[in-house]
Amino acid sequence: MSRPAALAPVTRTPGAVRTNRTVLTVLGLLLTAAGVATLLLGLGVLGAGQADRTVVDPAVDDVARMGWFWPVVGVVALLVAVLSGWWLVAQARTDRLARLRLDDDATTGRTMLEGAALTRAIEDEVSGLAGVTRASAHLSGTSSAPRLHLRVRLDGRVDPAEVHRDVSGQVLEHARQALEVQRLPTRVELDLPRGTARSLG
Amino acid sequence: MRTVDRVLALVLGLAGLGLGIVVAAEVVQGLLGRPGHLVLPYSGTASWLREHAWSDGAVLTIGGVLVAVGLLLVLAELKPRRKTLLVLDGEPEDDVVTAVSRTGVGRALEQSVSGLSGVDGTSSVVRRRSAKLTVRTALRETGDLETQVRDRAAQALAGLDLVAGPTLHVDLRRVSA
Repeated sequence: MSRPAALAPVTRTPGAVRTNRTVLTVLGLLLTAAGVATLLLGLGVLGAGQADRTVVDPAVDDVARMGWFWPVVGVVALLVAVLSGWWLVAQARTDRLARLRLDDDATTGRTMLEGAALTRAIEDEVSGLAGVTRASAHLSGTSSAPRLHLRVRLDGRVDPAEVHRDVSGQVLEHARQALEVQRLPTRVELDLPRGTARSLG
Repeated sequence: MRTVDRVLALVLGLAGLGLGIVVAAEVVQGLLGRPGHLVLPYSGTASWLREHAWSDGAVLTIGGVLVAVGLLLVLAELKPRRKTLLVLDGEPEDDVVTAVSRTGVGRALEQSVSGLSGVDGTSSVVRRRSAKLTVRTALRETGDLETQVRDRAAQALAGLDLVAGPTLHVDLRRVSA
């Protein structure tokens, strides 16, 4: 399987990123449509008579006086409030896997593993590797198909490729054993230090 | 763009939540037959809308601004996300992908030449397909410094073992001591 040459940075809130993108695109389209309609009316494209009418004219007032109008406005306003609240709540949703179910059997019982316990063990093991100053890990996905995200800060004294080999080899093998899985899709981001490099003055 | 999106989501989400509740409350106030407004002083806006025609300059300006902001938002959101991480080749573990940021690659290049005699400063710009390493030297006669810099940087780049390493460009600049 060929690897991609470049990737976008990983996010812990992929759902929020997708939601924001969708909602803001829809808002952009609505604003564009409203603006185009205003310009078409104002420039007389839809008729000179329309362009000379005030934005709120007696015809609009007549509609506003109908019994159903204001209740509908109220319901739409509440709908906007509810959707806005849902949008705000979506910002806090992460893809973190807090707990993994290792075994679930009616006779032997259920075995759960705290995600933080595993990621702490991984962080400790990676931090102990030569050339690593700090590591942070988190799990995402589901209990049956977990994914590991690892961020490793290097000290610049060991080749990143060597750290990559150590992480891919020993550390991830231990993680697979702990989770009792054959495969553990993992994304490792290496953070190289500024080190002794000097900037242009 | 993610951060901008997040800020816009918080601002617009809070605005939508607040405005939705306030408008609904104003509607209830009106339906109950109570005069005046609760929070929103909408009578001024309503009067303005009754006094201005669609062809008025102010209304056309608002329409133009709406189109500009709307298109900007749509284009910004449809733009593909920047791929700022370069993937390492390494061992053929097909379920492990290791990547390093373009800034990190630049740091590795700078660090590889910073110990060379005659190097007084470095900077780098790394893109997906090219990496430019700028080295400042106060040496009057640079001799083979450029070759040394190029060799060290090329070695550092090769050491990263990237799937598709960027092409290295070295720029040696002489500065006064």
